[in-house]
Amino acid sequence: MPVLSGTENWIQRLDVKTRLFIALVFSVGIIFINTWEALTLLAVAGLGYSAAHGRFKIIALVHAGLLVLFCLALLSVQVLLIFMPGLGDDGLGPFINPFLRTMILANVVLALALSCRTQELMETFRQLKLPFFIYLPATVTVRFIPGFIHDIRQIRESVLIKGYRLNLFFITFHPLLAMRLLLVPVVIRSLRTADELAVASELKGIRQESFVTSGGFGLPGYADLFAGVTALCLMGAGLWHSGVVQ
Amino acid sequence: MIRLDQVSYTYPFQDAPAVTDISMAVAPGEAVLCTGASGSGKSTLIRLINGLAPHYYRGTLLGRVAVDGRDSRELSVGELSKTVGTMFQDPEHQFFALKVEDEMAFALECRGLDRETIQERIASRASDFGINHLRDSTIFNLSQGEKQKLALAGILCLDPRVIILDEPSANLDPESTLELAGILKKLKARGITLFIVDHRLYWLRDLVDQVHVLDQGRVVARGGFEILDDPGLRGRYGLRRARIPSDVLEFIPPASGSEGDLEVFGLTHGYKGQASLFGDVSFCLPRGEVIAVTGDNGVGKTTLARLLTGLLPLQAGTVSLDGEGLAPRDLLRQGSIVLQNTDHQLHMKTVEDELLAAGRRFMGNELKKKTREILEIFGLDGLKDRHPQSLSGGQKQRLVIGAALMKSPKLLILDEPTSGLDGANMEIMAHVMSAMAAKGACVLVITHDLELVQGACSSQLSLPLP
Repeated sequence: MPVLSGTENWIQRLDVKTRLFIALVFSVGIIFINTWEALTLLAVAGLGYSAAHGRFKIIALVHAGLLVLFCLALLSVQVLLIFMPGLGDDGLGPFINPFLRTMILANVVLALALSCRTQELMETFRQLKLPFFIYLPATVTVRFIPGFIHDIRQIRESVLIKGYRLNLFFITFHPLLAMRLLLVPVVIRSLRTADELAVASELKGIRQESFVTSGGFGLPGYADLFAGVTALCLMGAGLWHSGVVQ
Repeated sequence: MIRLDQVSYTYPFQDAPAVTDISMAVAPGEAVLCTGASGSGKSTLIRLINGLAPHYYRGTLLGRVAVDGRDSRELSVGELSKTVGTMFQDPEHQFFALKVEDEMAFALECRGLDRETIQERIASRASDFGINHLRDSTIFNLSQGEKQKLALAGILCLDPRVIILDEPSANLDPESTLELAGILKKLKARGITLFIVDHRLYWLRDLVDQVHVLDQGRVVARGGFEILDDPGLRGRYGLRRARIPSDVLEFIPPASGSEGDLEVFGLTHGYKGQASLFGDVSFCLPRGEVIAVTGDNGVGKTTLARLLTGLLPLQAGTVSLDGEGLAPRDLLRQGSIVLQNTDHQLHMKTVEDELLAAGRRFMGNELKKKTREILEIFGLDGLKDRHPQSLSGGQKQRLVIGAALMKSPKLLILDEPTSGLDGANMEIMAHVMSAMAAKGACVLVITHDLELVQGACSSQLSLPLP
């Protein structure tokens, strides 16, 4: 079922359990992978996976944000290297890897959040016998992401209305103001959204003992098998390259 | 069906109670209106009936709240939700799913109903509210009015015995408001109890059986709807009018173009995969006037506002002011727009800083003078050191409009500026809009608020445009 886009794509045709499995494999695997080459491979695969939604603007925005953070971090490292040249002995890897991991996570979680119906996700968590205190917050977290993207759009508009242009020049020369313009409404909206979702779930009568109607979402098929095996192969290759598995 | 006995409720970390010594009894099939100025305790009453207070908000509850004969303290919010359906002032707050059909199905699925029953109920309610064509849409693409219809349809899917409606007409066009009144009458006839909180009163005349007027957390007047015909009572408690003359809808179209007007030529716009909203339309908006932009929910009023202020690019056409064609960037510079959600539009540390930042094109004493003026006009001078996000809804609304005025825009567009505002705040808005127009600005107000239209607007631009 499309969530934010109007048409169904191949991710949405995958079973929710497969999408969760891919997110889990990638999220756990990247903890152990420590070579930038392997992480880059997974980052590209993750990008392809999330890009299948066709939500290129959102994906570009997320990656632009990551790139800005990456550039700022590299700049700070360059300054540190002047005083502590020993820091650079291990090459760029230790500095790039955290960002590649973030990028991989962002892509698989984004793909999950943009493709799942809230009901599908809740039902899947229940089928997996996860306890209520885990599956409700997990559902709310995934549900939160599209709302957050919507909020970001509105915040961007309000900043434009106030006559600010949030380009690289502005961020470089007015970093504190840029932070304030973006972060204050983001934080306030995030807190409010969390509260609103909690109230909504209370009033909808979502409880531990709720019996959720089966969605009839179909059984996993060959596409699920293919996607799951591909995710495992990619992760295996990454772990092998990192020397975690021989 | 609903019984409150000497109820007082205090929120956590607050010294004063939000409501004090409230008693009322509502029989099955009765409709009750609760009204009063902003901050009078109406929302707290709603939370007491649906159980959010004290179960979710905690706090101290004295007295007894009973729904269907059972003490609300003994029932969880989930259990109460089987009897009581609540429609929030901002319907987006209550959506859990992301698609219209999913949202309508969500609570039914959580109650374990079979798929056929769910589909039947959704089809029936969607048809009642005329939102069948939206079933596949995402909630973020709906207009405020459509969101309101969806919220109510979703509640009715659950067949509750009590329905609480918080400002149900706030974002509905006049036609939809009358439709809503008709639907509520039918529900009432079916024995469903209605508890309505609203500032707009005129549409409830033939619907409600009891009226409770709240002020500072206490019921200060109660009776039939006719008590609201007393202008003294309305004036004392900042209430809106109880009657709106029917001729209010008959406005002349904006005058044809003259020097200095805002001219729009060949405007074309449509969203991807949807029918075109504006197909090669031209019109002229005179400066020095407050123009109401009216039309059914979802007809493209907010889109038009975004196009005229450069937030959305024109697919074709031109916009010119003072005879000069303007690019989107120039439109944003010369114009100002106040969107509906105020949370996104407040960034600074204090109310005063917010205004100073908005008026930064002015310098020194001029900027200070302008800030002082705006603070005074909007009654915010006592709050200038407060954090903007800590203000009440009405105060935030006044602040974002004040910030828009700091730019001294030639074009000012306000999107539903009086939604959820009481009579006193609405009059401030009407006064400010008229003052801006008197200074030569073209003021466009997207509104369904007939009182505002009557009090401030001199002409209307009715959508869809021919």
